[in-house]
Amino acid sequence: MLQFENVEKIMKKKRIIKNVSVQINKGESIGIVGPNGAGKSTFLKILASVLKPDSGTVFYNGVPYSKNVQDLRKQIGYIPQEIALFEELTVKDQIHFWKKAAKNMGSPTYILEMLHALGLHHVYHQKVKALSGGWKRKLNVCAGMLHNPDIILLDEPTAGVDLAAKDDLLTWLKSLHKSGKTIILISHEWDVINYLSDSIFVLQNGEILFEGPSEQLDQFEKDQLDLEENQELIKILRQRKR
Amino acid sequence: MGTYLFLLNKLLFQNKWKLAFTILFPLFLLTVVFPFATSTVEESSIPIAWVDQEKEGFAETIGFRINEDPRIQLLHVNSKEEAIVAVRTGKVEAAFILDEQFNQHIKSGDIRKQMEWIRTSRSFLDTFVKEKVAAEVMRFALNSKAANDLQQLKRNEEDFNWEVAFQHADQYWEPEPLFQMDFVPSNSGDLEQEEAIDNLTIGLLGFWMWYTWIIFAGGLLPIYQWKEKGLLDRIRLRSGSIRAFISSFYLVQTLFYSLLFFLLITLTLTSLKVEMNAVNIYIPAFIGFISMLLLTMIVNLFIKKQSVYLMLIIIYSMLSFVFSFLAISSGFEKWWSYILPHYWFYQLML
Repeated sequence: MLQFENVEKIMKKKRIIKNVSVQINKGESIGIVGPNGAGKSTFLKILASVLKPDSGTVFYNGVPYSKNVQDLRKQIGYIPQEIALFEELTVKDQIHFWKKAAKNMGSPTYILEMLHALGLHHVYHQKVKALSGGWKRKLNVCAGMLHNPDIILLDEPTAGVDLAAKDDLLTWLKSLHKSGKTIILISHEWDVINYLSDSIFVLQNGEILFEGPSEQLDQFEKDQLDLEENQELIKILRQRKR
Repeated sequence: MGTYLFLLNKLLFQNKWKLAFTILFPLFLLTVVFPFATSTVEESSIPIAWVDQEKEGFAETIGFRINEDPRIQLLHVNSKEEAIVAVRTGKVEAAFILDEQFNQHIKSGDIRKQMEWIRTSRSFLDTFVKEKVAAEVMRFALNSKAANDLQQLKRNEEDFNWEVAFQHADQYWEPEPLFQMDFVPSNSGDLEQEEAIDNLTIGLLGFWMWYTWIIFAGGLLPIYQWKEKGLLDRIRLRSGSIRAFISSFYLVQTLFYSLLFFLLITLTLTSLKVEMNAVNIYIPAFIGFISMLLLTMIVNLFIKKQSVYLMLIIIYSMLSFVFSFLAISSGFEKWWSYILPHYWFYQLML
C-alpha cells in the first residue's frame, strides 16, 4: 500500500534519510524505534506528505505521491509530536474548526465515538490551554483523525501522558487497528510499541537497519550490531526486556 | 475562508487583556500624556514670521509699524519655505508673505492677493496681527487710490504733487480711521489664507502609524508559533493548502489594525482641533499605512526566523518614524528617505 523506493532527504546539508526502500502493507501496525536524530520523525513526515523527498519516490497504492497527494491526504491521519492545536480555543471550537477545515469528514457517529473513547466529552467546553498534558495529547490525536483515516501516523502519541490517558489512547488505537486501519507509530516506550505493533522498524543514521517482528530483534542485535559502534541503539533495544 | 475568518476573529479577541491594552494605551497617551507634552507659544508677545522681498517703501513701513506694537514680535525671514518651517515648528504663530511687487500694487490701489497668510489650525493669536496688517495695507492702498484719482482729475495742473495728495488722504486715518473695515472672520479677500499642518500633528500621526505598525508586526508572530507547532502542516494536510488560511489571517489583522489606526487619527485630529481633511490627511494616511502593512507582511512571509523578523521590523519602523519626521520638520532629507513609509505619508499629506 505504501512504498519507499530509494528515498533520500537532506536537511541543512545533512542526509537525514539515506536511500531507504521499504514497503508497508494495508492493515499492518508498525512501530519505529531508534536513537534521537535517527530520522524517525522525518521518515514519518515524508510518509504523511508533509515533507517531500529530495530523491527517490514514495508510492501510495502503486501511484507516486506527487500524482495523487490530495487523495492520499484524505486517507492519512498524521499526528505530530508537537501539540498542533490552537491553545486559545475550547475543545468544542477546536473540533469544530478542524472539522470545517477538512475537505472530507468522518461521520458524526465516528466523531462522537472517538470523543467518548478518549474521554474528551468531559472537557468539551474547556479551553485547550487550561488542559493537562494528557488531555492535550488526546485532543491532538483526535484533531488529526476527525476524517476517519485509513492510515494513522503517530509521532510519540503517549509522550508526557499519564497512565489513565495512555490507557484510553492505546485501547482506542488498538481497536482501530483491529478494524483494519494501518498504524505506523514512533515511540520511545516499548510497552506502547509491543502493545500496538505487529512489526518493528529500527532506524539509525537515516537507514532502516531492521524490519520484522519484535521476536527477531534479539537475533538482529546479536548478528548485526557492533557493541562499540551502536551503544545507544543497543541500550534502546535492551530496554524492551525490562 | 469563512471558517478561517471565524476562527481568526475568535483568536484575535480571545485575549481580552491584550486587546484592552492595545486600544486603551493609545487612548491614555492621547488624553493624559500628550496634553502635557504639547508645546504652545508662551511668550507674551505674538511671534510672527514676516517675508518682505522688497524691503523698501510701503512694505517696509507696514513692517515697521506692525513691529512697533509691543504685543507683536516680527521675525524677518527670507523665503516662504523658511516661514513655513517656522510655523510648523511652533516658533511663530503665523507667517505673512508680501507679494514681490507689493509696493507697486499698493500704489495702484490694488489690495487683492497682495499677501499670503500661513498658519496652522492651532494658531490662535495671529488673527489679531492679521487685523492689524490688513488695516495698514488698507490705509496705504486707500491713500494711494485717493491720490491716483486726484491726479487723474488734476492731470492738467502742473503743480500737482502725488505725495502731498497721499499725505492729505492719510489725515483721515488719524486719530481713528474715518471708515472702519469690516472683516469677514476667515478670509477678508485681501489676504490669502493657507493651512499648514503643524509639527505636533505630524509627529502624533507618525507616532500612531509607528504604534500600529509595531503591534501589527507583533500580531503576525503567531504564524511562527503555528509553524513550529505543526499547525500549518496540519492545515495543509487537511485542506490541501495554507494559502486561504494565511490570507484570512492577514486580512483579519489588516482590518483590525487599520480600524485602530484610523480611530487614533480621528481622535488626534479632533483633540487638536485640526480640520479632518480626507485629501490632505486620510488618503495619504491610507496609502502610507497600507504600504507599511504590505511591507511587513512580505517580511513576515519571507523571513523564516522570528527573531530576525522582529529585529528587522523594529529597526525599520523606528528609522521610518524618526528620520521621516526629521526630514519633514527640519529639511533633513536624504535619498533614503524615500524607502520609509512614514516619509510617503508625510510627503502626500503636506
